[in-house]
Amino acid sequence: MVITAKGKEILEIAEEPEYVMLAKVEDLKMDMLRIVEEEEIKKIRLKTSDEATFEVEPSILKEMKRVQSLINTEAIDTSVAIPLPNITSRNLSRIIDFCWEHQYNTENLEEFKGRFLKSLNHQELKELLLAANYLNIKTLFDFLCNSFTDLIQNESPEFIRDFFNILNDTNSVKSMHAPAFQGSIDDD
Amino acid sequence: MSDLVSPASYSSPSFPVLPDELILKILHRVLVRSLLRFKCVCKSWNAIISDPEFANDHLCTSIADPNMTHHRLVSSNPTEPPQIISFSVQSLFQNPPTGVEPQNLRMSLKYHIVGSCNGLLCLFEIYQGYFKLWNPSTGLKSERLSIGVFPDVIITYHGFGYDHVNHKYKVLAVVENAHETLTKIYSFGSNASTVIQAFPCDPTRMQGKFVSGTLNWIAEQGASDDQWLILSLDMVSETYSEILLPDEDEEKIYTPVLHVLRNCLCVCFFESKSAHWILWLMKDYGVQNSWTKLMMVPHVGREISAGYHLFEPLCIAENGVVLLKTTSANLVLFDPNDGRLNYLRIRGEIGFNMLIYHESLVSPQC
Repeated sequence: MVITAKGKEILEIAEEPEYVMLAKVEDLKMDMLRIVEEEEIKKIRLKTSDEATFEVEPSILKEMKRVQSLINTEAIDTSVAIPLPNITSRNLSRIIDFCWEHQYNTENLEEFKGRFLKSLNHQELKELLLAANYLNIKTLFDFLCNSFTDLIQNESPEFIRDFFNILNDTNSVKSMHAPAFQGSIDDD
Repeated sequence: MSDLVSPASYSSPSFPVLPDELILKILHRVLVRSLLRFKCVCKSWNAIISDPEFANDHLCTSIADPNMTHHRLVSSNPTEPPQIISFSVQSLFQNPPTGVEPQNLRMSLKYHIVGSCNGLLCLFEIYQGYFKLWNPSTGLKSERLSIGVFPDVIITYHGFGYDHVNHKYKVLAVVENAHETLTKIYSFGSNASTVIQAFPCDPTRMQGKFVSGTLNWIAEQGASDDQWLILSLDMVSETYSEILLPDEDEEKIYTPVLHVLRNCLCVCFFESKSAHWILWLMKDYGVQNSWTKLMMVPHVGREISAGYHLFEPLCIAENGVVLLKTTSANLVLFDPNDGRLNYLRIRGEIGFNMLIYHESLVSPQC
């Protein structure tokens, strides 16, 4: 038996005369269909920059604080797909993947994160960080920021300039090297 | 604030360019030694990394980091020659079979670590009688802050903290000589000290723990031998208040010690009825009903009444695993999820006075 909020009612009605029950069960079936439909509607559709439409579960949606606030505060029409002009279908599918695993994969989350990261090149990482920031997804944003940190932490200033597209205007600034635990505390 | 990315870099639209705010959010997570190196990326990065506001944001991110990437355990080593020794807390929690490698710093003079706050260590030079702030991550130091009359004095109770209203680092020191005992507060940057009201009780430990803008000690209350209270000194108003221990139906409390875990005041004591070490955390500082029982650590080794084998918490990971030190200055990891105690293998000798500090860019010059 499908357990729904209405399930309890089926049992109660079962004690009534049989012919009534038959009729009621038909009604209930209709009710259930309507409930299923209502749940479908709760799924929000998101439209990416390349015109793909995604149906997104409420549990995933609640990670996307920006979409949440669009729905809650601006009372937009949720029967039409919400346009996300900054996000490609490829990235949205990655984002949904990540949010899904983050919620339901409790055992191998670290393993998933490792695979997730490996599948991305630097450009894609940047795109995804921009998307996570735009949608305001804290878990993904923190994860990507930490990944960027790991990527650049041990690199040279030359690598950093290249990585972030920065022009070198520092002929005068000398390279500084500093160990974690440095200097002597004795010399004043 | 100047731009992190020069305008020229926006010229290739096919490559996404991260806006300044996002680059800043990444840089807030980068280790201090890397940031010092990144000062020469370009002029604007140099300006930003040198900005006290950036140092502050970086510190806040580091303190909140669940991975404890920027946390270090530091200890002054009583061996000759005197040393200050430090370990990455993250490595300690990983407990590699080869042991955790420390970083040493030799000293020609002898320093005592008074406390740590905002990535700064407050050191006391015991032969010449002055305090000094030191940021071990940047190597920067403050001016000396002399305790005045010397060498005929000793310091008993002491503590180091930050007055966030007047933006001053302060040291409390109870200074004694043959004639008098003075309870003094020294402020860095002003070379002035004030005498405040004497301690209303006699705490069990000399060193106060800094949390939520206060220094804290634990003391026996009145005549009865198992009633304890926490003496709290507000670093802004320089006045005392008292905090009661959690009100639990415990039979008898032995050797309570204070520590700071998750930026909250924490008390750990041995409880005779259960024969466990019990850790309580005060979620909202000063709010009596916010005491939360964190975990119970099984007692191992000798009889507790002999005072041996005390457990003191130093640091706690997000998954609940706690780093403890024992009376014999061993480090132990306790996992409350499976109840296992793991003795850590470390290289080098570690002193009993251990502190946790966060690597930061905060300047000790104030």
